[in-house]
Amino acid sequence: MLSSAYRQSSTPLDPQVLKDDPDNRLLARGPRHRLAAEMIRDNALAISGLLAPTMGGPPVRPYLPDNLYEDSGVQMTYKQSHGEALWRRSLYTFWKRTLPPPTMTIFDAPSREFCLTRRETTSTPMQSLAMMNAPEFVEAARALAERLIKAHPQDRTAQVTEAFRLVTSRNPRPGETAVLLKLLEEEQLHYSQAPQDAEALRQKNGEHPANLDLPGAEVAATTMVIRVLLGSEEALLKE
Amino acid sequence: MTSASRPLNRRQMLARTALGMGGMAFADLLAEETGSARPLGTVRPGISGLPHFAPRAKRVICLFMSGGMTHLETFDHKPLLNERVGQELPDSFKKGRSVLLGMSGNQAKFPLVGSWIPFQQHGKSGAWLSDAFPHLATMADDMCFIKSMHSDAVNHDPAMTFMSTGAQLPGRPSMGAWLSYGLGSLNDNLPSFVVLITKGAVDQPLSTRLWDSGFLPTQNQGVQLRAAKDPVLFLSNPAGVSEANNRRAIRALQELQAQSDAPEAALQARLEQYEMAFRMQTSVPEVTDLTQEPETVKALYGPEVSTPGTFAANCLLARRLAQRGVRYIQLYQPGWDMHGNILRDFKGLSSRVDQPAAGLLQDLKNQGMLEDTLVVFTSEFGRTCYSQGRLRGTGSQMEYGREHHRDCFSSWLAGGGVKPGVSYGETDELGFGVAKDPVHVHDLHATMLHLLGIDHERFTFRFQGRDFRLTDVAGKVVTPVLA
Repeated sequence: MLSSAYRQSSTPLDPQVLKDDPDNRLLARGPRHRLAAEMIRDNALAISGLLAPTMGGPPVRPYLPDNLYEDSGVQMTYKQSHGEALWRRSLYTFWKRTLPPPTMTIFDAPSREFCLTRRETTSTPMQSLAMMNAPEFVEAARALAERLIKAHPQDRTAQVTEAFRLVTSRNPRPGETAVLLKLLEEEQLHYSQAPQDAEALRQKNGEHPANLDLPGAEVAATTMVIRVLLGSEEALLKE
Repeated sequence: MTSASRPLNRRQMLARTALGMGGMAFADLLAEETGSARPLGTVRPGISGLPHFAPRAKRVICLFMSGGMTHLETFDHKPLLNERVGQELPDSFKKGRSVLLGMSGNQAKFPLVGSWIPFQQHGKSGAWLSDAFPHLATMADDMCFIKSMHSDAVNHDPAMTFMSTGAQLPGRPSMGAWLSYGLGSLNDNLPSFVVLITKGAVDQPLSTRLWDSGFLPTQNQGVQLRAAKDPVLFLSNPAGVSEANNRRAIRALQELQAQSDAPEAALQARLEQYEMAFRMQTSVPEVTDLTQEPETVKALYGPEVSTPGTFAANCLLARRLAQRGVRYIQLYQPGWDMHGNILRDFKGLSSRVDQPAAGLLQDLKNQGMLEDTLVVFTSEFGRTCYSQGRLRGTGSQMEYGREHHRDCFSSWLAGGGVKPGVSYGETDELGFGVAKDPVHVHDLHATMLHLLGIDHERFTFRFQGRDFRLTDVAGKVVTPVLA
């Protein structure tokens, strides 16, 4: 990992390099691949500040869709964990081989019933639905929104810049900042006119308690911006 | 598999991502609905060279009676068992076995017992069905009974895994995944392999391995449509989020993409998946909304069709999915594991299965779909001709159970190039073993693939240095059942 070949940028300055070696068989640029299922969730938890750093111990049971076990035919019930156990690394997520956690398998984690030397990396609408709607990601977006509003009160540019940097590991270009600010303003307008939706968004998605000292519409609007960022291709790639 | 870690060019990316569920033109969905059928695999192609020859069936609906459906109270008429109730299983039948399989090994006596439900012959073909299936009986001339099925596994999980994947050990791709991979998808608004499970049925557990893609690309794994608020997982918006939010999100993603210097193809693919995802928020509820069906059609499936998640509702949903180009639809009806009391457990279950299954055949027929839809009704194994434990009571009130039995069981096929109105294979006079024309699970798989235009010996996937097949190194096409 310290080799210069590995440490090259995955987006070469000279576009000819991409043309000459589109599959990167000659290692003309750095590697670019989608994060593994576990990393996608862990990354969202880490940047939101929710990640519990506790190591070791028995597995934990984070969020699953309602009645997933009951409707699946495994004929068991799921006892979801609470508190810190919801926000530990995916390594500690309870793995039921007859019904693996769907946000893992949707992102190509294999069932673990056979050996696999290399995971698939697909791009499917199931992944889009999970990124946009699964409680762990909506909750992470909201927790990060609260953090950013506290850290940069009244400074929307600083909020979106920091959100972008946390998600992609680089600073946004001016055009990107403009896109995010425009979205933030629109969402702010939407949620200031629909305060009940703002409250639902921050209080009914995940068990991390909402910081009710912060203005609801602002938290909701920033959450929507981060939801977009978390789901963007760049957030899902290691490059 | 080989390109997993390499970036894809635009062509590859679009080809690969189109494999996933969900799909492009909403107009396609409407086109499917109005019946303007497309040629095989035109939305997302399968692998080159497939089908090997002209298929008779375009799609499969498999009605899986999980738990081990007794053949002796359903489709395999054994009057001798009724004459010999209480008599011991003759030693000649135990020949070559020191102990009988499964829990029978603990049993000292093996009292024969006949079906408490009478059998009649039906249709021009004179097929024998027990009186538990009055509706299916009216369809007898459309069905092809296989009385000589046999399996290698005697416990539920390996036997169901065997029937679903062609191997007892977990990890192989299921048949639906093989077909999705090989033949491609007919509709990208929906997965090519859908699983429907009767809600609340309690019996032997089911596992996602039964519809897993194993070592095939993960897009081919079966997707369970649940009778729940979200038929597809994470389909509905989170609390406090509306369609307007999603429209703005898509627009922002597009605008961010325009700014990015990442490879265009990958970005475009991701964006398209978002657009499909949001379209599915409309298309999936539309498919699963059975209230759109005319009353005359619903009536075919019986009174339970209006209750979401019942076998009846799932049968009708299966037809709707088949109509929209879903390649393989697998229904599970648990509850057949009747060790203790067939008298008590059987009737309620058979009546929940009978009319919906018959209704499905009739509906497919009415819609002109039966000829290219293969319907398979099977279980993972059969049950013993002797009682598990003692016989209790007498006559028609006799209580008895039956233990798992892999040496013979019954399945039936219909439509999709299968010869209608025939019975193939026979068990011996006690329904204990196959007497004539055995059909192994591998043979059934080979035959199903054949009907779909696939030579099971040439349909392989290289994994861990070996070419794998659904039928492993076995399987013979049962040509006498082909129309």
